[in-house]
Amino acid sequence: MEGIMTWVVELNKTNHVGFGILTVVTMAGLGGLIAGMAELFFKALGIKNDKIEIQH
Amino acid sequence: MLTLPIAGVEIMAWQLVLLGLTVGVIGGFFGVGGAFMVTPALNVFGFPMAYAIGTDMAHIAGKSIVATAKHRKLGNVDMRLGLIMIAFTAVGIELGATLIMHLEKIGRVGPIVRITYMALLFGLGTFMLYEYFKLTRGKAAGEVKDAGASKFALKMQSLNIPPMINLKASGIRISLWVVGGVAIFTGFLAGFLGVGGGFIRMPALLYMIGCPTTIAVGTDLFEVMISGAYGAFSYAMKARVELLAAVVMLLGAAVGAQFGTVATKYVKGLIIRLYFAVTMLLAGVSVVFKQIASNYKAVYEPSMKSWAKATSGLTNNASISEWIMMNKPAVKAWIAQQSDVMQSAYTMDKAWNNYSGYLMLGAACALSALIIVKMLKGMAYERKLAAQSVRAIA
Repeated sequence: MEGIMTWVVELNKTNHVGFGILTVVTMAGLGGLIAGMAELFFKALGIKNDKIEIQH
Repeated sequence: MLTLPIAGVEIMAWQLVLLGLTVGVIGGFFGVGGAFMVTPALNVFGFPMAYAIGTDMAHIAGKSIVATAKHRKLGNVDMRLGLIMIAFTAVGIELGATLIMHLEKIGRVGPIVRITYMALLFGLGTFMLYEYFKLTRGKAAGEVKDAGASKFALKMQSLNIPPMINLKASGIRISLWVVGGVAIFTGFLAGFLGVGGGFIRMPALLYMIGCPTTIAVGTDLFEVMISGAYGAFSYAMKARVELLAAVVMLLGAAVGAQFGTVATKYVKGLIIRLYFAVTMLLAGVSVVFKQIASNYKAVYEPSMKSWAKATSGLTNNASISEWIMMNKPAVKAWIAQQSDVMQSAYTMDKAWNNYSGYLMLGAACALSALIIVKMLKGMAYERKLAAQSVRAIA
C-alpha cells in the first residue's frame, strides 16, 4: 500500500497527464464497482426499480 | 488518522467518509454534485483548501457514476436530453468564464459574482418554496404529487423552431434550439459563478424545459457525471487532487448516493422540490457568511499579497493567491507580526468561513438523515406490499 502511495505521489509530481488519467480511471472504476455491488445488495433486499410514491 | 500523501497533512478518515455519505445522499436525491456543501465543510475539517475543489471534483466523478447508474435503472435519465445539453453547456461555460476574466481585468469580479450567487440561491429557493405552498394550499396531505410543467416551460415547448426533438423519457417534444439555449444559459451562469452548475441545471430542467422532477434529477446527474470527470482530470493535471482523500470520500458517497437515489422512488416530486428549495436557501445564507468573511479579508489581503509577492517573487495575481494557499505556516507567521486590527480581521475571516462550513455540514447531515428515513420507510412499505401480494396469491 505504501509503495502504491509513493508511486502515486511521484506520478503527481512528474507526469500530470498520467496522474489525471489515473484519477479519472480510479474514481470511475471504483464508482462502477460500488454501483454494481449496491445493485446486488438492493436485489437481495427485494427492492425493485418501479416507483412507489408514498412519502409526503 | 489518515495521512494525505500529496497534501502532506493528517485528517480524520471518518470526517471524509461522513461528508461523502451525507453529500452522496443529497446528490443522489437532488441530482447535484454537492460542491457548494462539500468545499465549506472541508474547510471546517481543516482540509487544505488548495486541494479541496479538485478532490471534491474527483469524488463527484465517481459518486455521480453510482447515482446515475441507479437513476437509469429507475428510468430517470433522459440520455438524449443530457447529451444535447452537455454540448451546449460547454459553450455557455466558456462564455461565462470569458466574462469573468474581463471583469477580473477591470477589478470588479468579487462583489458581482457573490451578489449574483446570492440572488440566484435566494431567488430559486424562495420561488420553489412559494410554488410548494401555492400548490398545496387547501389540499389534503399528499394530494398533489408533483408540480406540472410551468407556464414558461409550456411556452418554450410550444416554440416551433426546427429541428424539433422528441424526448421520450421526459415525455416532451421541444425545439433543439430551445434546449440548446437553456443549456448555454445555465452553462454561462456556471462558468460565471465558477461552480459545477447542478443546482442551476436541475431547476432549469424543471422550469424552462418542463421535465418531471425525477427525470430532471436523473438527467442532471448524468451531466454532472460527464462534467465531474472532466473537472477531475483538469484539476489532477494541475496537481490539485488529493487522490486518497477522494477515494475515502467516494466510499461514503457511493453508499449515500444509492440511498438518495432509491429515496426518489418513494418521495413525491413536489416534496423533492420543497427540500431542494430549503437547501438553496441555506446555501444562500452560507454565501452571506462567506461575503462577511470576505469583507474582513479585504482589511489584510492587500498587505498580505504585497508581502507574498515580495517573498515568492511571483507577479501574477492567481499565482500569488495559490502561493498563499500553499504556504500556510509562513502566512500565519506573517499575520502574527501584523497589527491587532489585521490579526483580528484574519481571525474573523476564518471564523465566518467556519460558520459557513458548519452551516453546510449541519444542513447536509440533517437533510441526509431525513432522506434516509424516508428511504427506509419506503423500503419497509414496499416489502409489506410484496408480502401482501404473495399472501394474496397463496
